[in-house]
Amino acid sequence: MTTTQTTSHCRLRAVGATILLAALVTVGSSSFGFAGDKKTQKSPPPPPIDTSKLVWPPPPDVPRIKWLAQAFGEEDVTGATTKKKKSSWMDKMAGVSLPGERGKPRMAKPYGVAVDSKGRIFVADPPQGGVFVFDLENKKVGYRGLQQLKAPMGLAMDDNDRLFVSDAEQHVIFCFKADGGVEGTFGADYLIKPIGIALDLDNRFLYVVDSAANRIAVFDADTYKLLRFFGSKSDALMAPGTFDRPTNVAVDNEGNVYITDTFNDRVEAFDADGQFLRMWGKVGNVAGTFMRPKGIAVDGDGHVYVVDSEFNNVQIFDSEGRTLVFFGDRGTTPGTFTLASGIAFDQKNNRVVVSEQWVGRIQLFQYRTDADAKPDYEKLEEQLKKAAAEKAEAEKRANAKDSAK
Amino acid sequence: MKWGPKLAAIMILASVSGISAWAAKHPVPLDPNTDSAKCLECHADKTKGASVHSAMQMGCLSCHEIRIIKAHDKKHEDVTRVKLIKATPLSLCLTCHDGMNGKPGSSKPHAPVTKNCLLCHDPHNSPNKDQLLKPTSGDKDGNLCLKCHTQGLNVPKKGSRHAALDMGCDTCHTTHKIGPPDKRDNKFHLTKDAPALCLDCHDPKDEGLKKAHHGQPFAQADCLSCHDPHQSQKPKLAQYFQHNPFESGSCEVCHEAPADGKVVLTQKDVRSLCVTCHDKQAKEIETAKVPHPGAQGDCTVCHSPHASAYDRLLRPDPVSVCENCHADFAEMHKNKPVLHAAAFRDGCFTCHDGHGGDRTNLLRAEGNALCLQCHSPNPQFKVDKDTGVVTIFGGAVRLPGDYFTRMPALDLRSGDTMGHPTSLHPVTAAIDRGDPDKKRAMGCTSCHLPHAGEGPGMFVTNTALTAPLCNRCHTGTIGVPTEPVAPAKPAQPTDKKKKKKQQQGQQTQ
Repeated sequence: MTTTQTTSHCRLRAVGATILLAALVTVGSSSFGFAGDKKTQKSPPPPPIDTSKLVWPPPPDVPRIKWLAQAFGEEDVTGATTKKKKSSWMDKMAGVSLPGERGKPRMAKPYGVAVDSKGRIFVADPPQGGVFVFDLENKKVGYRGLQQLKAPMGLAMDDNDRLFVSDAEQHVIFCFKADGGVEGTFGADYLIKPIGIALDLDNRFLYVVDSAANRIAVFDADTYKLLRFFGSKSDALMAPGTFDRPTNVAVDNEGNVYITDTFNDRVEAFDADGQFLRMWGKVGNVAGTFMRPKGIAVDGDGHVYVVDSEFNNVQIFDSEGRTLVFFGDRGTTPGTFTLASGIAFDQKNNRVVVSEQWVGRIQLFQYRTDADAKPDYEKLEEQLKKAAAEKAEAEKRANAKDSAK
Repeated sequence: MKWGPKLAAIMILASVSGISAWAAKHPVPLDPNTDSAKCLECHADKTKGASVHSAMQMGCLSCHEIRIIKAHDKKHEDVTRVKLIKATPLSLCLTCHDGMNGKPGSSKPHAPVTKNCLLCHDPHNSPNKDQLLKPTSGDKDGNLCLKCHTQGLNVPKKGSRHAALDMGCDTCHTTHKIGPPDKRDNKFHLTKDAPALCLDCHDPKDEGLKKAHHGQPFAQADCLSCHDPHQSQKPKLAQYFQHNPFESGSCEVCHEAPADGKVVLTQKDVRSLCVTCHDKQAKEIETAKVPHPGAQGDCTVCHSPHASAYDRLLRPDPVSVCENCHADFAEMHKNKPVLHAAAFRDGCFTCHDGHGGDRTNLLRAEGNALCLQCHSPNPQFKVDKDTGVVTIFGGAVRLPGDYFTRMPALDLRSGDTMGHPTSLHPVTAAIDRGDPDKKRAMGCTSCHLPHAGEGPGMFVTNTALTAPLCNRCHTGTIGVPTEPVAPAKPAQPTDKKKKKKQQQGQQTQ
């Protein structure tokens, strides 16, 4: 006992001495300035992110999602280098930075996203009351509804490039023609707070999530007629087919509808007749659970993408709700999100577009289809089989050696 | 990882897949009331084939709708779209084929019938019967049924396979047959119930068949009690679990030669015959402190004397065997949304001793020990090395090998006295404050029902909510009514504009 006590005392003394020494050195360096110059004392700048390594799932698994690009506003797309506008000291004090700090308009709090047949990305910006149109191929930026819209939230794109926009403040749906003019407005008599919208192209249905009424309104996309409502407000039992402030909606190739039931932390699926099919998800902090599910999209292979604005990630499920992979984390660097909210899938280029409310940007991801990734999976399986066979052989050899001994 | 060429490939693939995504647009401009003859100018192939949908004669517009969207200016052209008159194929089919997807009080229909008819049928034409996508016979790739079902595919070398499987599944099954659920031919969608169905092919007067059944009057028996209709791990399609004399072919142990086409036993009644070997079980039944009246009579009421698909030769299965007498549990099985798997999947004998026991309700263990046999953080079970079968309660209950891999274990501590549902909550050795007399000790059954419940957790309060349950002991701490909350009516949308106008109108007046 005594020996251990003495040794522990010795250790304590040694630790104390080192702390004292370290303190002296730091005091000396800061006050007398003899230990190195100022440049080395500054924390080193974060290393630049190698965006080519932003793939999910990470190697050695076969990557299916790859980070492509990000955009904050007009300047990121047109690429024009304009001189930085001089901001007054009063602006700096007030923290005014949006829009046009860099000379060109930027997004303030982008929410809904949509992609048209030409691959142009449409982003709804509620505070600025307009829709940004990013044409990445031609490096052009356009706008929709700057005069008409007050709080555009959800976007949906017709195959004829008609754009549907839900306005939460005016509680109506706007329909814009392909050239940008207004084709019509509808739904004012039925909607309280329309948020997410989606189109069933085969059935010509426009699904509108009414977050305040806790139900889904179904309109005819061509005649603007109200067809039906479905869903009701859920009680504590959270019965299937009920909602607590749902936000977004997506439609798959078979016409099934997926709705993010945000305050119940789940995704509910219905068929095109409004019959409840299935649901998945609950509150939690592991993959497959949600904290605030918002944007939702379906890709060409039928996978369901769900954006969680608390986890700041995108979880990918199969159509039955089995968790496949997730990407993203909290942050402001490429591949991370802050208040991620909207999502859209670009059928033409197989790209995923995700919008973030806080940073005010959109990020583009490339999706590899099932058919495209199949040879890689076969290769991976072969490699795993080889490795297993080698391991078994090595074990056999070791066993043989042991028995020989 | 080189992405350059891959990206190009993706672009090409994407452009191809993009076409199918925009398929709702019709390539040729049409009139909304287009004649079917005009459609058939291009779609003539839809009317050819061995079987063509009879509705095709009613015209294309009986199922399809042509919709024209006028262009707003001269730059753009009118868009013609062709869509179904109903939102889903199922709802469209049901407009004529009414009641196919089930009727109240009838047996469950074949699962795809309630989802999508197009999983099996082509809506227009097909070379197969009933416009099926593939024939119902053939190998794995050619048979439509084998897309989901696996019967007859993986037969072990020593096993057996019914030759009728090669004649096609529709030899015995009519997929859409439904009716009263207590009939087996409705439940399994059979053309007839056994044995009549079996006797269509297997003639009972056949000498070989008579010899195989040792001259016993097998034609009156239920073939499926001893044989599996599809495949078996044992020869001659015999069910897996077999009575020892039956397996060894020594029928004479129990049977004498039949008289007047009726079975004659070697003893005067069934019970005295069984007791000649199973005297240990007979003693258990007679000397039990708590006897089971059901076990006093004929043994073959619960056990098959020959073979069964279930362990202990139970018949018809480990759950219905008890429900035949305990009708209240049959009711529970039908109506309750959440069922205890041990009771309604694995069988009542998992927890109860069917022959009688020392404890009330014939339970295999007392109090929490019964539940913790499976739900303890360290469940006590043994694994048979040869068969992989898991045994609990000292070998009295046999369960599948993977039984404990999906068991929800509780995070209990301090000798399994606390730790559920929160870390310091007691589960035993405390007064059950929810008990009106406050004399009973706390246990699993203070909160949980053992058989079935209204929600996950099977609470004694008969609600899926946790708050009323906690309120039974922690009174006044949670401000939630103990009664289940009635579902609220959907909120009616208020028209803000109209209201404002009304208010303005009142002000002006």
